[in-house]
Amino acid sequence: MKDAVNKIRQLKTIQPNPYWFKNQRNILLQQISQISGKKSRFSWNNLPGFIFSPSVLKPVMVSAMVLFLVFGSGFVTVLAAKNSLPGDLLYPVKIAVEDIKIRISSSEAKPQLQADSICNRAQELSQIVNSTGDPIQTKENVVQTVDKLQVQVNNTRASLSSIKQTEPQKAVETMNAISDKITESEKALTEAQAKLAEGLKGQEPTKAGDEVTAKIEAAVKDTAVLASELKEAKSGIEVQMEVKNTQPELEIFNEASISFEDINK
Amino acid sequence: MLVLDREKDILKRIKKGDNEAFGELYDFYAPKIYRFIRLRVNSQETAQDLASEAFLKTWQYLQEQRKIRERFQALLYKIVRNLIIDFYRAKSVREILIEDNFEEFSDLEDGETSDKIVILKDEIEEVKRAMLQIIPAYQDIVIWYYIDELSISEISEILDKNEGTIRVLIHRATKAIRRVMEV
Repeated sequence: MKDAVNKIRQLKTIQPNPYWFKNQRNILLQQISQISGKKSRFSWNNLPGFIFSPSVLKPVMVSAMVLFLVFGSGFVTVLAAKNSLPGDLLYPVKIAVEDIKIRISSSEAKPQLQADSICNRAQELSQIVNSTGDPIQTKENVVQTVDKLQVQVNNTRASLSSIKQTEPQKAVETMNAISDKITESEKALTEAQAKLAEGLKGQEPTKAGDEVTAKIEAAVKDTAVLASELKEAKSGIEVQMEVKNTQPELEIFNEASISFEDINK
Repeated sequence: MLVLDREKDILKRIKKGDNEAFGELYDFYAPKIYRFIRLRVNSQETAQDLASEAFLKTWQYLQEQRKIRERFQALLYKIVRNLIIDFYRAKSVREILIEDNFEEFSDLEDGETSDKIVILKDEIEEVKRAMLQIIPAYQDIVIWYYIDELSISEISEILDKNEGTIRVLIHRATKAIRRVMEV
């Protein structure tokens, strides 16, 4: 039997979740700069630096690009790109527009747009696996789409965690709002995974095939975790609502039992 | 121990508004702080929330002070201890850790057999249950001395007690946890 001290030392193996560890660092530094930014005093000498700082210049440029894309000559292109699929000429435009929308959105709207993006990638994936194109190109498109989907899953989680720190109530509302979308995406992904596995069944195992299978498996897992987290948050709200609704009934019941006790006295 | 060697310099940079310097301290201390909290509360989520709060509070404290007299580690652990005390005070009931599901064993070596992992997990659960049965002050001592491997002088700095008292506390805490584990 191991000595108690040796057993205690085994607790060193407990480590934080690497995703949380990395994400929390970004959130912490963001919070710190927000707080220190509020504290710093305004100075006319800092004005040119402020205007041309990346934090100001970047959103301005991005907004200008969106305005150009939406109202300028790019409007038709953007519309045409809407139904494009990975591998299509206009697909990068579709991704760029989505990306820009997410970048310039408020912290509350961000998770909703990210969830839309997850939904879009999941739908695209279904279309790709159901199409009868060149198998090599199809595999490439699947990998590309799954990678993009996973980035958005991680970003959604990071955005939610960021709101959770500053405005917990809004975070819960947002989680509730996007829960169904993520569940739908998870379903679409699982179907695409099954379809893909079916397609690979008769084929010789290849490195590319294994990569696709592993990638989609990881994406399904990540999306399922996010979906279950959101479902939990949603059911939490429902329980709270139920408690709120039953509160008046409970009060009546309590009053009734008090008067009943008084009668017994 | 590079971060520890440069700690004074890092603290000066933080005072000058270099936020990335605080990130360096976070990288070094966050795993230890998380583990310390995780062993004192019953959920991963609570441990994550308290660890985040601890770092933010520590940064705020550093901004408010003109001169930092103590080492960063001591300051951080003092803030963490207060947060844990506040957490339990707010809950009013001591949490029961038996139902806890420990999933954070990223340090387990690759290639370790599943049987070995199961045994390790069981042993870790056993220690956690034993920890619950000793007083919180002894729990802190056990974690700092045996898991974080802090020196007696480092623990004395956190607790503002002399080294003789810390030696006595280590002796008593070890005796207490051994007694519970050997039952």
